Amino acid sequence: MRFATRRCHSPRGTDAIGGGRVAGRFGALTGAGMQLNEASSTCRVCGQRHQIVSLRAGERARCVRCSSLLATASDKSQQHMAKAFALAAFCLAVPVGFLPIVTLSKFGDSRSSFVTSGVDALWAQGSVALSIWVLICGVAAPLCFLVLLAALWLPNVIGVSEKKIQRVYRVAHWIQRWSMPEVHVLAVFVAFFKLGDLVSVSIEPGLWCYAAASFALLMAWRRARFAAEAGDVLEFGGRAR
Amino acid sequence: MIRRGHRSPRQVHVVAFAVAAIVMSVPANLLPVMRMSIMGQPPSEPTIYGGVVLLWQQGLWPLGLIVFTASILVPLFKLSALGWLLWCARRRRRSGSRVATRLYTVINAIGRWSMLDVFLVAFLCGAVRFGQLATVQPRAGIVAFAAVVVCTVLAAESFDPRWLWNGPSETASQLHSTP
Repeated sequence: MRFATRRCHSPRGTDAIGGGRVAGRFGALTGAGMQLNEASSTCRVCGQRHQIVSLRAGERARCVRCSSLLATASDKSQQHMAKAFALAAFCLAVPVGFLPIVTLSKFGDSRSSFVTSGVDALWAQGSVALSIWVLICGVAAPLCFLVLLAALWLPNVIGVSEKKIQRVYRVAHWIQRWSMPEVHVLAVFVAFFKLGDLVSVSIEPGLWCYAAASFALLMAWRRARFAAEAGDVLEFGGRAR
Repeated sequence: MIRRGHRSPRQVHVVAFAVAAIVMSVPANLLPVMRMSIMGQPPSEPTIYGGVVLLWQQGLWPLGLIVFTASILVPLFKLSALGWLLWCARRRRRSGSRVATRLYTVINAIGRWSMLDVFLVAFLCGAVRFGQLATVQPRAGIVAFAAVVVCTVLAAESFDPRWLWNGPSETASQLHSTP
């Protein structure tokens, strides 16, 4: 979903070195007489400082220097989508706990395996570190990530301060790097085709729930990561160093 | 990303993780990653590349391509791209910084996919448990490979993209810490 980015050019010569592109509502700002807010924000990629202005719904804020995305003023529907995806991921993650993923049969003997069967087997074979690592990447980190995204609902349910939600986003950023259930799903599909003629493999509903939950997590994170409540101030005109 | 309350990572951290990844990639590629014992066939102990070749011979060349890309190409690409980014950060010209920043974003995004082989081995170990008829056991190669993946991801995380814009000095990374 691409929204048009509004670009307004401030008169040259007013910004020090940073470039004259201002994205977002220009409003009453003029060149030399820009009213500088105290509140400022820093591009987390290049360190360029930006001031904060309000974005209209559907606008995106880009860094003037490296043009990486700073924030999007999501309209209400996008925020609802983020929360809906988070809720969907939560609901889909529950059956993953007790539904099997695949069932293998060979010579009339059939075994069902679950999400954690690989972890279990690695532990039993003696690869303790590897089993813990696979558990973290496949199950533990996605679960924590899910809980953190579900915390997006907190302002609706109980009154939580803005600062605490910022913290949630920060931790979610870090955990997202280590939560890779979609890779696990792809690995299961690769194994499914690889084992095709050796053993007979049938895919169980647990795998679809796992895949859907990981997809929902991805979608929720995409919408949530740059969330700025409409009405927040995010303005540009910072000076480059 | 901005870390508050932490000391900024330095270039030497990136190099350290990258060197660790390169060092661990030697046993990861040379040692076998798993042992498949299926009744009626001799036990096979493929390496990562051996597994790709096996998939190719089975006729499953799309899968072979996926595993090859995820397990061999992606770490290679990440390490060489990180080397290039470190060089970009050190030179004076800032003309390519935007491209470099994009590359950094791409590296961060694809890092996780090299875990494909680890998950594959883990799944096979857990699923193929038929006692004497068929078993799959992990071997040392996959542990080394997991270490490679972790090191490459940590190396990419330690790289501060602000170096591309402000130069690699530590003070440059500490510009504008916001309240």
